[in-house]
Amino acid sequence: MFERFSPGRHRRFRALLSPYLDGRLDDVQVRRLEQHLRTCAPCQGEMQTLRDTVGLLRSLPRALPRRSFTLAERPAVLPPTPAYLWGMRAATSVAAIALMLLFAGDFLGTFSREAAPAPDSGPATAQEAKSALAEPQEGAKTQEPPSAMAAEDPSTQIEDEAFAQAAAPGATDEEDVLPTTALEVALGGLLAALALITLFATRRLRRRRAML
Amino acid sequence: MAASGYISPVDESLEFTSDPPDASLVARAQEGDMHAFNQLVQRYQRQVYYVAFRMLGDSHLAEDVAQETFLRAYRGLSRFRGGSLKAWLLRIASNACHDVFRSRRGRQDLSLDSLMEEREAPWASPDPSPEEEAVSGELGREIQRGLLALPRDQRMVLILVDVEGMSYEEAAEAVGIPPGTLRSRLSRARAKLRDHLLQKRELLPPSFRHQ
Ligand SMILES: [Zn+2]
Repeated sequence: MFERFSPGRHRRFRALLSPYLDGRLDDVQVRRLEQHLRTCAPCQGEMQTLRDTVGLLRSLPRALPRRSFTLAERPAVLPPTPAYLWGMRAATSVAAIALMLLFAGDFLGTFSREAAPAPDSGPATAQEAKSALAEPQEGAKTQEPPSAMAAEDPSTQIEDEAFAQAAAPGATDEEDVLPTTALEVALGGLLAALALITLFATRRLRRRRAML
Repeated sequence: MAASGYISPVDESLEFTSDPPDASLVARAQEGDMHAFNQLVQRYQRQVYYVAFRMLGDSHLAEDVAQETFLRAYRGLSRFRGGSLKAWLLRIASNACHDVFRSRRGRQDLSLDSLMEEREAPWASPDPSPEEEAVSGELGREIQRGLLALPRDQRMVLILVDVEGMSYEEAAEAVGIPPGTLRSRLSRARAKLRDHLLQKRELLPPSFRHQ
């Protein structure tokens, strides 16, 4: 009542207009607001346009769905639940970790065998599989531009030597390691395929769920 | 969509049967009575769809959201702790709408092109009142544009209270905020939409232009 034309005062009244339209003010607030509105044309204009806006929203025509959303009698098989997805994700992670461990083990084994004198009695299939696994790395190395190769070469050599030195003491375990290599490779491939399949399945499911 | 296998054809027989209170239908549905659950679907599907439609501005996405809402409601029915079932359902629908926004992040909020499709959507009254006539066509699309221009939290409360006609208490429950917060949020949303519409004075009915 004191500073009738201060902007702060108008702002405070304007914040009351919306609840006023809904009958959400107490008697004292209503009385003060109505008194202000009688003497303040701008606030009155605000109130009327606000009321008109609400009126427009209330008279918006109601869109109807084109179909019903009732569920078929007992959806026995529920769509993938979060638990199911979590299971898939867990399976993917387990497969990925197992795969990493297998490859890590396999590469260590490979280096140890290269450092040690090649056994004549070693199973040929395992050797072939091992070299096939090692091949992509070598191929990648030769395809690199010369400048990159020059920069990388010393470090890779050092790494190879370090690996050879570290693996040398373990060379005596070779007899135990070698027979399992073929199995490991086969298992690794299988797990890789499994991991990829679950990964893609999960992605697609998640995308489909996200569409909803 | 993924859920299409679980949709039954429209069951008109459910629509006008007796109307037991929500609580008893919920209790029966919680014990696995699909018929009871579907009665609840019939009771609230129009509201759920319409809120989603105004929230997203797209009838196809709104149908997806409505279907997803009732699937989630069915799966989560054991977690319903009483109160307003409508508010609970609309809260699920609101979350489903946010999931749509999240999956479309990067794109502009649903395109205005989709508004043009509004014309093909069926409307409740084949014989519109003068007021409804006034907001069909260009003005109606401008209002929807104004809604889509609001921040989502403001848009939702405005739709729940002014478009859907819910009470402050029910709307606050549906959004999960105290009624006092709803009151101020609604106030800001209304003012913002009003300002949007005043930029298109030529579309507004004469009564609106007195200022
Ligand atoms: Zn004033």
